Amino acid sequence: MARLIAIIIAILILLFLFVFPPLYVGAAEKKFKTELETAYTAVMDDDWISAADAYESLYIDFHKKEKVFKLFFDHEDIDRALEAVGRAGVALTLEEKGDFISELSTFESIITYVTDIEHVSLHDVF
Amino acid sequence: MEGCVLLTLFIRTIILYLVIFTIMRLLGKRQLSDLQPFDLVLTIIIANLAQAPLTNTGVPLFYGLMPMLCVFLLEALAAFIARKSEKAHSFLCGRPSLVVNRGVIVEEELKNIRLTISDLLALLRGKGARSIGEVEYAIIETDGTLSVLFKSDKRPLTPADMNIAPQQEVYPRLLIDNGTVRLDELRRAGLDDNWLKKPLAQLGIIQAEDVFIALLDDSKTLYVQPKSGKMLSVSVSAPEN
Repeated sequence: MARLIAIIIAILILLFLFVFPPLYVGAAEKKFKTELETAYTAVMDDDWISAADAYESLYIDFHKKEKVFKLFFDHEDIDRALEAVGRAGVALTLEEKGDFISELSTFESIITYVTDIEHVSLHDVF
Repeated sequence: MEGCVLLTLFIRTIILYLVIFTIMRLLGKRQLSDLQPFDLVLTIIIANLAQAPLTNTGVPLFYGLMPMLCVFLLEALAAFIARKSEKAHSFLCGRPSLVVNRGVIVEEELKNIRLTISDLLALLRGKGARSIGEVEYAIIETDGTLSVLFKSDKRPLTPADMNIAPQQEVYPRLLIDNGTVRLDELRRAGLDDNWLKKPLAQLGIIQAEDVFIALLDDSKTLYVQPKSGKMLSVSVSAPEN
């Protein structure tokens, strides 16, 4: 009986791990990308106020989701993303367009990477 | 910050310990000597999987837990298939190897299991055989242990050798198994379920459903263990077949 219960629990945990992280990360990635796009457009138009709003929204969203991300992804990747967002904040304060876009791109590439590793591909399996 | 890392490690260790402990208990192996070679490999894999999240707090705990659960499920599946199919059992657990057959060492079998003559002799000595000449059959079991049947003139003395006729032993009959009366066993013992009611009543048990196990042995003693209680016994008169 104990063995059967353990098997059921193990199957439920595995199902959770196969279903929840991709859904959660996929939804988060979409939101981040929308906010990033707004920030890029604003800063290219030298609209620093709109860029600050978009950055603020991104910063708050990522901090909210950071803990869940760390449950499923290498903590070092998430820490690097956090650092990039932090550096983008500094560039925003200094109104350094190049640095701001560069740091947000770093953040975007990390988020894209962790989202990609949630999708099974034959290359990754082997 | 350092304290946080140590606390993280401490909590992770507790979680992984509990998971590994549960998995190993559910796999049902108590001693290393009970393990089949494949089980040993699984044990080592599980230990290695636990190692990564323990030594590196940057690795999510699920990276260790997920493969461990997967290994556990695969092992449960393999055990289920092995129980259902003799062929699958042979494939998964291996089959015993007859290395000495009628006093002759089976060279082919030794080659198959990569055992040298010296290894075989050492194993035989461990079983009390001073020379190969004393052994009629030797079998390497699937868990790697050696079973030996000695030649009739080399085996320990038995009552039959002394022309002594001890009382015939009778196979103990399992009459109730977890609340279920084994009518087939009762029939083989020349009894029926009505007969069973009397000794149970003597022990204060009204229903057979309340009995975990009831065993009738050759000394005409019925051993009864209720589902909640100690083992009881009562002498009976049973016509044994």
